[in-house]
Amino acid sequence: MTPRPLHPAVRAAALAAALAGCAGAASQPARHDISIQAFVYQPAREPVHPGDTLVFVNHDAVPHTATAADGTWDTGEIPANATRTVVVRDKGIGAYKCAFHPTMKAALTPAE
Amino acid sequence: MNRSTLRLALTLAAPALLALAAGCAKDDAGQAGAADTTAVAAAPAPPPPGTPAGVQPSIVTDPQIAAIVVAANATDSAGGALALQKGTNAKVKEFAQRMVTDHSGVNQQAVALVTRLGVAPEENNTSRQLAQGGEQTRQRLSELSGVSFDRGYIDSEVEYHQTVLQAIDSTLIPSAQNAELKAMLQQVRPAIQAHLDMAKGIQTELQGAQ
Repeated sequence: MTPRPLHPAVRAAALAAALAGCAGAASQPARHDISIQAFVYQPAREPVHPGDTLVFVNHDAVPHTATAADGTWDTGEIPANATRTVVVRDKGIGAYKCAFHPTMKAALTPAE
Repeated sequence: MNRSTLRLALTLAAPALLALAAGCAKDDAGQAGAADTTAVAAAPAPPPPGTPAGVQPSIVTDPQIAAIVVAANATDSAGGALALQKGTNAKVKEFAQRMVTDHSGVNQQAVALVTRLGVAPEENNTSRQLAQGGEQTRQRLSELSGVSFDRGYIDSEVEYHQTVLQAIDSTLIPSAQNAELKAMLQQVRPAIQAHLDMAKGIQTELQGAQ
């Protein structure tokens, strides 16, 4: 049995989906694990792309935050031994600090 | 009360730690060590950088360190609670809340650790002086109000955290025998340093507001 040719609209949709899939694979948002221990963010400088996810794990006995200097993202309070996740956008790539302990500073840098 | 008198009065809790840092708690450690045969006799650690000539770091046992840590955290938490009631400057109150939260958290961690390790905190002269000095400081601070209270509280916090840092570096960390207890002290140190930096920043702002 000869397969029926696909309707042009269906072919276009399939092609678009295939292209979208390829594009998605190329710019898949990445996950970045950042630990907080002894009042230090580790790594202190992390290359990221817009849309990437930041996962902060607080290993200290006291609460912290990770708060973008430009105010575009904020984990809110991260209790002791807790994890908070944020998605970073274009504007948020830069310096951040702990709102509770302003001497704690780190930065996101644009990934190559 | 002039500021120099006030400054002197507000740091009553500090001498206990200062004496510890300077090696004046040897008798205390010796008495307790004799009573606690489980305490490991610490080999004298080399004097840390900056230790004045002729001053040997005092040695305290792990159970004594546990009691000192608990007393130090409880003292600063109580001071923060008072400042939350009497403080007027927004940054002073925010700092006070941070002291209550952080020192409570550190104390919970410390108590959980020593409980797991089976180390029963052992009261000693330093821990007792910390508690008594803290109480006296709070009594004197409670007589102040407004800007005088804010400045007095922050001045006492600067001195207190400086002294605690010195004690951690010169005595507590070098004396700690249990690796986990030593690691906890090393983890606590950055918190004390951050608190000191924060207090100094507020102190400078309050002085500039004169």
